[in-house]
Amino acid sequence: MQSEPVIRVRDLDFSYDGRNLVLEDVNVDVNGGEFAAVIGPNGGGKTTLLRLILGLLEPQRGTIDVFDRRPCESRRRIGYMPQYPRLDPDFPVTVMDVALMGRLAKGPRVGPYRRVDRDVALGALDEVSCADLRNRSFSRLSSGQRQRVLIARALSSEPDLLLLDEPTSNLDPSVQDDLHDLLHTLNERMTVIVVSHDVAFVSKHVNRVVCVNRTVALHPTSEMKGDLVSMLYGDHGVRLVDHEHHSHED
Amino acid sequence: MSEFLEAVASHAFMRNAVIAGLLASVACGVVGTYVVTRRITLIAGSLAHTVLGGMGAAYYFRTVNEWSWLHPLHGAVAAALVAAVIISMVRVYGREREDTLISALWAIGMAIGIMFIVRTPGYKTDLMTYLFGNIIMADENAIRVLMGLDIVIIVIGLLFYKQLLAVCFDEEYARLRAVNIGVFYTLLLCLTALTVVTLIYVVGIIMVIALMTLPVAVAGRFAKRLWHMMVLAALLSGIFTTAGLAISFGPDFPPGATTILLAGGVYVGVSLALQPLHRVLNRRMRRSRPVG
Repeated sequence: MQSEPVIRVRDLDFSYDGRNLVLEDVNVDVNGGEFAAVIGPNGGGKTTLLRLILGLLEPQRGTIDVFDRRPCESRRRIGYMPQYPRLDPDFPVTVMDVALMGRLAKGPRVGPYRRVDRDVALGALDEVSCADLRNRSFSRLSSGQRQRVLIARALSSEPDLLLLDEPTSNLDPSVQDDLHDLLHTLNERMTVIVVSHDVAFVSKHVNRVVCVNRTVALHPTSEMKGDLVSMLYGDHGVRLVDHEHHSHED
Repeated sequence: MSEFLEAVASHAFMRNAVIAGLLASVACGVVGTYVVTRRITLIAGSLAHTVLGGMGAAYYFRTVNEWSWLHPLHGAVAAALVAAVIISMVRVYGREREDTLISALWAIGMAIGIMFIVRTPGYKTDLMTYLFGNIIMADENAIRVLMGLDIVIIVIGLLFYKQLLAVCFDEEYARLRAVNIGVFYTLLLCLTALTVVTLIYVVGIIMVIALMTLPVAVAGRFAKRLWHMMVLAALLSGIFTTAGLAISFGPDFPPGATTILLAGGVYVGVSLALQPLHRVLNRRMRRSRPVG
């Protein structure tokens, strides 16, 4: 597994209106092969950070590099899974149609997808155990199946970095466990970053935690003492993160 | 009905009317499906009304400057494309309120059209023909223009099917997969503009949105994939326009209005017929879905 820095954020400020900073003085590193969880309360700037990494937003100050290049130049190497509720539930597409969208940047610009695109998309569906659903209507799937199909869409772009926005929201616990295992398997060949408002996502597989609440604190989960996070989030029985050497400002 | 078939067999203008209706139906099935799933029917309505400006201007210059080569359809195409590009620019780059601009173009286009038509000297063309359509008026020249538009619409609509599908389903994701959203959104609006022009011949400016959305809405009840919806919508639209023409012929009803009433009736009928089934399915799905 490569250990080049996949994401390097330096002295980054961001605000939507030019006055109130949503993110302030952010420094983040995520290395190749890591499984990182970006957690923090809703409204804390997680999604903003994600959109900066995807190059959908530009920072006010500071720099952000993805694979040593500007974010929008590295998009082809990023597999992205958005939050499902953003999509129209009545849209007439099949599971295969959705998975094939991951091939848009790789397939021919004009005309239909090639056979190789179909094979890769089907392979991606197989990897998330949804290959037998390929002719089903996307709108008729359960929430868990939809999340898996959206992960397959991200995988069919053959990414080096997988970015997932709230993949476990609206899933019941047993389905969440399956998803954790799936992401762990994928982490063997690519860097995985998961954004979640749920601290329970810091499972045994995660080896870096990025806490975002306007400012950012980084934690390797190997140094586990964990009194502060349990106080912050009031959640026990999850893998805890050491906040001793950092101070969240609010 | 036999009266109608006889008329089609013996009169060129009736054959032209049927052909115009079928040509418009194919464009309507393909582009109407994009328009309905992308939820931009308001834009389609605005483009349709803006067209009057171009038609009126072309009609004026044709008469006053004796530019006999200038067909009102040329003006219609130009006005629709200009309006499509303006709306797209504002959406992609601008900070203007999109719906305000769409409504403003709608009315400004009509105002320009009325101004030109009223100032045109000599025999006044009937404004009502543009507003409510008159498929019987489709001459050989119009058929040629319609056929050209149809080919452009279908070729582009199918060549870039995968990009347009992605832009309609999940624009942000398409952008992250290196699809140029500005280009494809503009392309989609231009296709919509050209389709609107073909439909104006069949049902007129005011009823364009109905013919663009009703067959697609009915098809949406049965189609699982976007291109299924296109094929089914085109077939339905072809049936509605031809049947509208046939039904209106005997009692001398206006064909455009007859077509729309037929399409509307089928839409309401299908919606009511499928409603109970739909509800049962929904309830069953909700019961089986885990609560998270």
